Amino acid sequence: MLSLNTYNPFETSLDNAKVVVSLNWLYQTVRKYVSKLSLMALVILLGLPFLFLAGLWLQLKRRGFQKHMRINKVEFNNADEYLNLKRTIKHLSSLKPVLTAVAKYKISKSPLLFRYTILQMKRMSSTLLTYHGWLNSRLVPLNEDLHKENGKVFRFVSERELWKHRNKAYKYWM
Amino acid sequence: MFTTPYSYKSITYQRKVVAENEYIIEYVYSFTGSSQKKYLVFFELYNYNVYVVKFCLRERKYYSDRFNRLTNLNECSRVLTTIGQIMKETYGQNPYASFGFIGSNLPNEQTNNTKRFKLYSSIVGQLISPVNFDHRVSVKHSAYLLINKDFQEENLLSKIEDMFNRIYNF
Repeated sequence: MLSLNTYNPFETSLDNAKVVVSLNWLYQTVRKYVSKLSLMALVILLGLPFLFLAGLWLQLKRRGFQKHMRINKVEFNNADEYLNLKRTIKHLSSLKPVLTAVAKYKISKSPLLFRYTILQMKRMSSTLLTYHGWLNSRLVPLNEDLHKENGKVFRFVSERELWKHRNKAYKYWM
Repeated sequence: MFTTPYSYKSITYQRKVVAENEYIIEYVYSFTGSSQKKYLVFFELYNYNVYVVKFCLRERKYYSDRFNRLTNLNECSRVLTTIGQIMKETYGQNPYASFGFIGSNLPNEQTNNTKRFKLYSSIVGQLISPVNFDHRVSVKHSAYLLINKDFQEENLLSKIEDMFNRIYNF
């Protein structure tokens, strides 16, 4: 009975409200003055090592890719290999605008802390653009008329023209 | 589409004279369509490993217009798939084989750029890759030629054109 009499719900509610308001004031103050500092600290502690590791990872990937690029020449002897080549070219072509933009980045104008990673991004983009050029060059013989001098009756149909009118749902017979 | 052929069988082959001092070997295949009608397919082997492909309904094989009339049986895609399979088999047996066909004109149709030629060339262009074959068309003669890239012969195209000129007056 005694305990029931000492508990005043109105005062308790007011105390709770004061606590909430005080905490809110503290939170707002901390957020106001400390947020920029903590963000900087987070960037320095976590972001920069991550950026450096990403750059290192890109560098290692590029070295491996360049080695394979030179050793494994792109060749196709049947329709399936040709389709694979076309698919790769298509995917790379869709990314080409971004790769070209990255390849044009000026390192001297980028922030000092980001330079290493941006340099690796730039080099990787340049390598991929070269590879894209190599893949396209493999299709050049299919677009050249080998019997240009000889034929009078039959007109040559280039690979480009055949691909343009092709229904991609069909599979090649041979 | 163009994936399910009818089952076919090789019937016979024979030597034929097509022009003065011009011989061919005609390979004949047969298959039955969904309509239970029988078809005959002729693979004519000319010089330079060129096979000219022709087909018609067996019941019309003695008619002079056997390659011109439409069957109206609505089984064109499977018929063409079957012929594609025979081509594939022929290419497997003769890796230097080149192929040609003419889209015959319908009755009352001009011989250039025929309806059949438009259909066949569209299908062949989509189903035979340019890796092993050089695709060539002659709209004037409604003819399509697939030259095998592995068959090395000097001036091959002009030799083939001369041969067709002698036989078919191209």
